[in-house]
Amino acid sequence: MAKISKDLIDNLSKLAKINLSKEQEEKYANELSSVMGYMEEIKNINVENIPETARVSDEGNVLRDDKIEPSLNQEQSLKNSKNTHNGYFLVPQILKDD
Amino acid sequence: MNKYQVIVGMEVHAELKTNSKMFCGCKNDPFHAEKPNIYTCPVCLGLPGALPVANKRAIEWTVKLGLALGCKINLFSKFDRKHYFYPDLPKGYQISQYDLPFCYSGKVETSFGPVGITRVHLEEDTGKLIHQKVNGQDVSLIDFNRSSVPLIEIVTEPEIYSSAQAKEYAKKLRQIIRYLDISDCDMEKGGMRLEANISLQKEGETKLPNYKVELKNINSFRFLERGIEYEIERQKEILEEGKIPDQETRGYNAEKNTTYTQRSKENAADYRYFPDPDLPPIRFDNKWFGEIESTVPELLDTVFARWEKDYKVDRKLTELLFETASEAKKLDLIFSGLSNSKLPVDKFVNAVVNKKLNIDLFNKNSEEIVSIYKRSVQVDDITDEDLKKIITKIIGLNPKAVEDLKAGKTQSINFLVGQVMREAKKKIDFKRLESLITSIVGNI
Amino acid sequence: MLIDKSIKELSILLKKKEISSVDLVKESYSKIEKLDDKLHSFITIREKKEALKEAEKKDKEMKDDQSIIYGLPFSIKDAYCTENFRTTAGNKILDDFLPPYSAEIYKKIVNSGSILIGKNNMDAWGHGGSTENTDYQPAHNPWDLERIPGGSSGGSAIAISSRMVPFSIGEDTGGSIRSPSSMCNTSGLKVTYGRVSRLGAIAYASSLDSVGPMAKSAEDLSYLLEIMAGRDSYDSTSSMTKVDKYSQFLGIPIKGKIIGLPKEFFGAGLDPRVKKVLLDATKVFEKLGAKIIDVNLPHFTYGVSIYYLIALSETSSNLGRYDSFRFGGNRELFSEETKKRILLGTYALSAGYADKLYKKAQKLRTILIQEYNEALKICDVLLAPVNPSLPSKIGELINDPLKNLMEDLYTGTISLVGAPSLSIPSGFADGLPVGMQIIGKKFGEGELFQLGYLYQQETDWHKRLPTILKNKNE
Repeated sequence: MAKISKDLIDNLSKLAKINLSKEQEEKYANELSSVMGYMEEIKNINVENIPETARVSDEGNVLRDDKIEPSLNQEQSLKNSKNTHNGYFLVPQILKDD
Repeated sequence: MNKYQVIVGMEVHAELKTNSKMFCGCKNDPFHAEKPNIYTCPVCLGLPGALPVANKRAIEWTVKLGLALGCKINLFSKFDRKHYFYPDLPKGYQISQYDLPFCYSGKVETSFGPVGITRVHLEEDTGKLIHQKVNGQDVSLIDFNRSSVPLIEIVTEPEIYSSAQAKEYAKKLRQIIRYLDISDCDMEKGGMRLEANISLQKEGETKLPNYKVELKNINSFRFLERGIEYEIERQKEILEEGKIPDQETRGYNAEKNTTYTQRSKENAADYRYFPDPDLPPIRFDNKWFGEIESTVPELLDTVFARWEKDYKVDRKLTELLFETASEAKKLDLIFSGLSNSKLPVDKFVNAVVNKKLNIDLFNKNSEEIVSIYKRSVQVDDITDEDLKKIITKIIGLNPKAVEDLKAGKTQSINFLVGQVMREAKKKIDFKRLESLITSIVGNI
Repeated sequence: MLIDKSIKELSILLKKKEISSVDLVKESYSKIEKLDDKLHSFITIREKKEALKEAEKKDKEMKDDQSIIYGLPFSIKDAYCTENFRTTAGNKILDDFLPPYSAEIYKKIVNSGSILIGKNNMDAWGHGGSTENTDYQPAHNPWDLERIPGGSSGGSAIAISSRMVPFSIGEDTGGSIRSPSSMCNTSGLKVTYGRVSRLGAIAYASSLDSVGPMAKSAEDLSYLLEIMAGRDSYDSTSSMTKVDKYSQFLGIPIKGKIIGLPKEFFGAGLDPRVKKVLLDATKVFEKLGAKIIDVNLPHFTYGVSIYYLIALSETSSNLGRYDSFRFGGNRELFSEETKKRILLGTYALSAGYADKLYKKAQKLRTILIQEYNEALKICDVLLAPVNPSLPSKIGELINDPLKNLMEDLYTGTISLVGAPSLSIPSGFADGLPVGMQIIGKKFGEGELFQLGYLYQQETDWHKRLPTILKNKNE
């Protein structure tokens, strides 16, 4: 049975930028373990030499001519943000360490 | 003290100067935008429900550059999503290329030897973050005018072995990109960004070092060179202590001429690449590939070599005269025009470079330019007969100079030439006079 | 009750001016006012005055050559951006989001003259099959208020079932149109992937999301699809395949058609009551001249795992843009269900696991497509159940993660292939509706309508009114 540890949940939550409490980490670790345990059923299926399907539409070469098209105006762009300043989106200072 | 060899691999990003952005029709002109967030739309803002459509020209230009760098082209290619969180990355992922870049396995020649090009791929740029204080608080301001501008990334093999070679490589790459006229590569505007991965290999070791330090956000060739040199010393010290330099990202401080830690790289980022399901793959058929191939001009190295052979012109001078391929073609016409009129191309180049001849090379047609130059070095018409008469006269008047000349004092020829010209009251080609005077004196 | 009539009937009556658009819109709001606080079909309802004003305008400009949906009220799942009109995707992160643009499909419907009544309730981001994973009150089934209406397009199915609107636009990723259609006794179409533009549809899983119509009958759906289908050059996944005149398939006999029953879908996981209804339905098709055969889709038993590994990977990616800087609230506002899905998806894509999980699922997807194509060599369409069991009681599914997943067994697998599937009412068990899927070749929606239409001529399941309407005289 796949075991998703609390540590793994911790790493995943950082990668996915989802904050979890310690209780949540514990709870999720259990639940996700059981879900992944179920999905392990695919483990033993042989897929040697089978290509991946990334898309089921394959129109191929859907491209755009290099033409300028109308943009939103600044007001429209900023409209839904809770924090703007002089036409910029404003966020708290990002630590250099990400 | 051990001896070390520096090993550098470079990653260069260049903003393509398409009209519109990579995945939407917004104007591609972030540097000149009057205000922030005016060239944005749901796609490049990463709004819910927005979908990307790829810019054909950006793809063609990427292949064009790859071909100019001698790369192989992946005729079946795709875009992948590269995931990380940062405020200037609106979707939480960057559309880039992972394992099927458009171009791979190329080469750039430098005077120190060839530098292998691992890959050339296409991706979208991020928005721009400005750090500021607003109302006493430290904040970051984001402008998405630059978000989704097409960005080409050129990655080298770790085959650069000195700071000088790195600089030469970077300069040459810039020259090639500008020659193709696909990017202005204006480093001050962020149109071209340099990154170097630097490590030291102990002399005698054949394996690549087991660490590398990434030097980022270098925006001049000089800083690149200095940054590498500083790193060499810094890493040497650490290695001599028996330690391994931290795997990290460092910036270059121009004022202090040092590098400094920006971000620790111990946990390699997990970008969770997967093929972007919103974008179909790209297939180059013979027709399309042929069209792109035909836009690749004669390669720079070939052009310079040809000019050197045909016109004896020095690359170091000619490369100062032009940037783009269409300009090179114009020069070709000028050079051949000069050559056909028996005018010295090398002298022409010299005169233009040294600003002795002020001429707009690209807004006049080549015939005009040839005739302008011709006039500027005009030698008067005078027959050999008449000239010989004058020479004979001057020789007669200047026996000492003649004796000096016969005795091997070659300076006297200048004097005699000048005298002849003064007498003739004409400007006459020096070599012509020199040979006539020498033969007449020789016959005395 | 006007809204009980078909789209075609309504169109004729409107153009003859025997009824007015105002009449329809009024009836719409009247139904909503009476029923919606029990059902929670809607998240945002448009201001009545505004909708009526628009209806008046439509009445004035009503002409014979107007579109068949001209003047009809409609609703749309709140997964579609509507310019300057609140769009939430069912989650508080977008509680006050006013999109600066509209989804392509919304524009198409409105340009054909239909009048928006409101945005329908849904499982947030498409995450769910029960419309319980919503920040705007769990929705209730008009046939039994204690039961789920299916999801994630539950609100849309409720609105049609309770005759609030004649049609709605839903969205199907792993069953989100088919499942609520089945549970609410309505008809819904999951189109071939790429048949309808996804531009402006808030993404769940980009390689699976399908924009589709929901209404009372296959006939209604055929008219809607004619309007909705077509290439959109701003959606790189939208297909260039020609759009059929789907309504022309209505009434064509199905004698000789071969209908395949996938053995894997009629096995142990299927509630015997549902199975009985489906097998009875096959008798109707036989009576109409079709032949029923068994087919095999061996790897489809792994369908749930394959579906979820791909869908969750893609959704974890698509939800990365909700960082609250440019719009919307904090990521804390994601529901538990959504957080879990994001974590699972992140896991499936992460270094060290991606080969065994995401990539393997993509390879299995190739096998599914192969098996599907093989099956369709020996039959024209497949017939399958929609849900493994009858509509659960509210609270049952959402608290049982594995059971929740298994709801998508028959629908998610079809989504992986990209095939079209029509979900129509096929009977009742214990008083609850049971739908069935008619699944076809890619871009073969016409054939689905052909079969569905004749079935709905022979049966009247789809005409039955839900319990909640029988208690109120209308």
